[in-house]
Amino acid sequence: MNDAPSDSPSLEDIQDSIVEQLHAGDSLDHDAILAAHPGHRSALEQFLSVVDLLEATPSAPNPKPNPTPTKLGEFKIIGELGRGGMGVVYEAEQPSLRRRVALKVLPPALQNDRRLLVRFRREAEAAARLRHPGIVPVYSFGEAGGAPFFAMELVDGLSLAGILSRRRAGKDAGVPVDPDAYRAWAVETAARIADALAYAHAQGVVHRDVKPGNVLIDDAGLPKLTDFGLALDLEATSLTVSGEVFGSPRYMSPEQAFHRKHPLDARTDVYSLAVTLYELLTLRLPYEAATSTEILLALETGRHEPLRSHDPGAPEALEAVLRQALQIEPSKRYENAAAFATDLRAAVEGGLVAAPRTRRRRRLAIAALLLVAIWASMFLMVDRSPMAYEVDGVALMMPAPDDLRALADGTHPDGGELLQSWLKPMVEHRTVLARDTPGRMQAVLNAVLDDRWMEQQDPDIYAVGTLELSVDGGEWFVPEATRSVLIPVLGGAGIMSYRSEFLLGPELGEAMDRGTFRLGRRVTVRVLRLEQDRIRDNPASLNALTLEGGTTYTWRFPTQAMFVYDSYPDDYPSRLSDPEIDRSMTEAYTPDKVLYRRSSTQGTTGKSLALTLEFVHKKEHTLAPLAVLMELRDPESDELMAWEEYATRGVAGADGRTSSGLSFSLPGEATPAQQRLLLDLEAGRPRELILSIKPSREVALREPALDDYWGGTIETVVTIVARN
Amino acid sequence: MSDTQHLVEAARGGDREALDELYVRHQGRLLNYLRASVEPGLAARVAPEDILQETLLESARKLDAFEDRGPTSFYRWLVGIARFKLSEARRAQQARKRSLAREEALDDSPAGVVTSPSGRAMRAEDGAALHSALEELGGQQGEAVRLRYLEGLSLAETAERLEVSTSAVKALVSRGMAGLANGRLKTDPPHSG
Repeated sequence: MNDAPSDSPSLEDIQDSIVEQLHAGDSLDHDAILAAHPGHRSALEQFLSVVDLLEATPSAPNPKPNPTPTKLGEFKIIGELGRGGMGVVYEAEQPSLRRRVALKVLPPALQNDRRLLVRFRREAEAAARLRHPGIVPVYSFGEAGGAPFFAMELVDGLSLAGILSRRRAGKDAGVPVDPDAYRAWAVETAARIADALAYAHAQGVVHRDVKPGNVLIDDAGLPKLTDFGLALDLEATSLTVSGEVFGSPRYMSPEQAFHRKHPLDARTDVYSLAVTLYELLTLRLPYEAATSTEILLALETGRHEPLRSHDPGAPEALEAVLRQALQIEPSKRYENAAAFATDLRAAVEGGLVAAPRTRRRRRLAIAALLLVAIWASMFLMVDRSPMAYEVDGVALMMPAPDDLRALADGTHPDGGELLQSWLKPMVEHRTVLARDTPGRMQAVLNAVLDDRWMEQQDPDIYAVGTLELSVDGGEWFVPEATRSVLIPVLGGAGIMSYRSEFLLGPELGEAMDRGTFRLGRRVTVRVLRLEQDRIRDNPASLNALTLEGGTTYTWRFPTQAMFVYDSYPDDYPSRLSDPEIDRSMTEAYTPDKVLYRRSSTQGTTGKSLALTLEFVHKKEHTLAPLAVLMELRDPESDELMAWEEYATRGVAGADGRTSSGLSFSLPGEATPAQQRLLLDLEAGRPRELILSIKPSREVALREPALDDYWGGTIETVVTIVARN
Repeated sequence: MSDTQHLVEAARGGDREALDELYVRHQGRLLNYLRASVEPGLAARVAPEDILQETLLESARKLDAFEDRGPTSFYRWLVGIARFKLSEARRAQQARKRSLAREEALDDSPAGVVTSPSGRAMRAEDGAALHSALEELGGQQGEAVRLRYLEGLSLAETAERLEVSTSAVKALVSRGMAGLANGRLKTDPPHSG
């Protein structure tokens, strides 16, 4: 039979319905399609072969989802209820008891891990012992065809996650509409979950993954916690599922998020429940819409936006209760879920709560601290007390702590001027470097920006500067490239670098090329105008970075560190042959954090990792650039996630320290593991990677060999955190 | 509810696997939409893969804002984001052309985001293959495949764009796909299996 019967759909209709199915995200069953239309078999085969080509996943394809089994043990599978990190949940029927149950099946990837299975079973058995009206009961635990599963009560209703997304979409979620009534409902719901947690904790079971998706509302409107104890140790499982990370970072407690060596206990659940309640009340997470640094701070400091800034009608007491429950230090939170429940109820009923209600200006203090910290790292100061100090003869004024606080708060009456003065020293004489073109210099102007500025930093905005130079106090001259586009680059915590490249006049350029540029020679750069140019309309940031015309900054060349040697000819005189130089490089301080940032410059988008390294030299003038190879590896798979070969550049502080900003860019065509890293980072979930720093022989550092200073390889674990 | 709707719901609840699954179901087509849409000049600077990644990341961030308007609306939403990312990339490229000191200043940029030349060439091949295969189809077939299949327009919308009837769209897609099968698109899928 060559032609389909006339009453069956035409080839073109079949093909179009296939297209429609693909758009709907349905998986195609080639065999079924071909079997259903025998008359069009060859045409459809051809069509499907192109479909396969066009649908091919660019990175390694995920295996097709397992087909739904029809039976597991005695349970007859009716349908799939959902998929989650810990497996698939089916609706099933248990014929012996004539009841419907929810079956949770461990994902296949985990099924071969004996250690995990043992653990899974132990957790399951503990959870199965729990009997509480606020906990979805686990009926049994079984194994069929190698797939371990649980049978649980089937709760017919939305989860809090479902309610949240309905409310966000403005749909009826079956919850009170009146704000006060809704708040009372939300708080009571959370209090009931806290009751359930208190009971479970008393039985020695910690939930560890309290989140909206794990709270189901039954047909009586009462909340029930599910997946009890199923959240296995994240670190233990993350590898076994091909790098898949389970859990809900957004609801994680700081001790979970940072993998602190802190036992997860009742207070971890209190924290996650508090996040859940906060989200119920405000439809947002405690740290959402916070600036990037604020998010880091939030995780590290427990700081969050006060409840009433998003739910103004909430009682002050409720805000205080949440504040206490969201404390970073477990010891500062409610000691147990029962105390949390008690306070929650008291807060809405107007009773007394145990949480302190004094409103400290915590936010400010922390912001100010952060600024101080940035200052300290920027200028390599350990002592925070001096208000002014010198680096290479340039006096740097540090704003008074009160000013910093007011600045952070945005309440400083002369904020603009203060920032102006504050920025000046930031135009640091850190790096002037010569590259392959004779006499070309590249200036890096470093600015430490208030975090809000970082937020405003639009990738389409770049700074335009006009500079004049003078050498050793001589006449001012305008370098050949008079207009420099300064591209914002993230250099490290809060450090924004503006790069400018320009050509020096012949005198200076030739001197540099002859290598006769001596210690102590001064190049003074006058920034005539440095302001943000913009492409997009963003009036708020227009003047944020304007430096007044005529401001003078002096770059001095106290040492050789200012030059990058990598592209110089072989006979380039090495200033490092100076016998006076103490060759003992002592230590390199590596950061424990690497910042991740998305950027979009010059027509491409990129994801870069930035960190600041600090090298300490024994003597002030030992400032040879160090050629290092830095690698970031996944600790488990040992896969190389990013690498960079780099010659450090830095300026010495009086204490002989050099700090170097360094960025890795993540490849556009990422491997699956890199993709996951990106997704994690984008989701705000910190990841730990191993940073190794070793001497590089590839970067043609003339001499002396790096090993003369520092022979070892540093290997350290760094946490990668997203900045925005 | 369809699979996609379930997955979206789960992904909104923080389920990473659901999110991955959503992407698996759509990203191949989306990438090919981008490949078919990125003009050679732009492709030299930005890989469609980069735009795809940006699109997926953006969609993950904005998942809560997705409004479900029927089974195909998720893919169309993704295409919408991709289109936006595409125009951003074009704008940025324009801006780049305008700026003065750029190329060399960038070569040292730690934010070095430029796709490596070899990587660019490699990917440009894939992208160009599809791009030219669709062009070679001639007439409206290539455009029909691009609009109806890759961009996810409805039959009616495609018909309106091409100024033909909906049944003509089906026929154009059918013949276009057959044309692609007949050796005009020789690119092997990047990973088979």
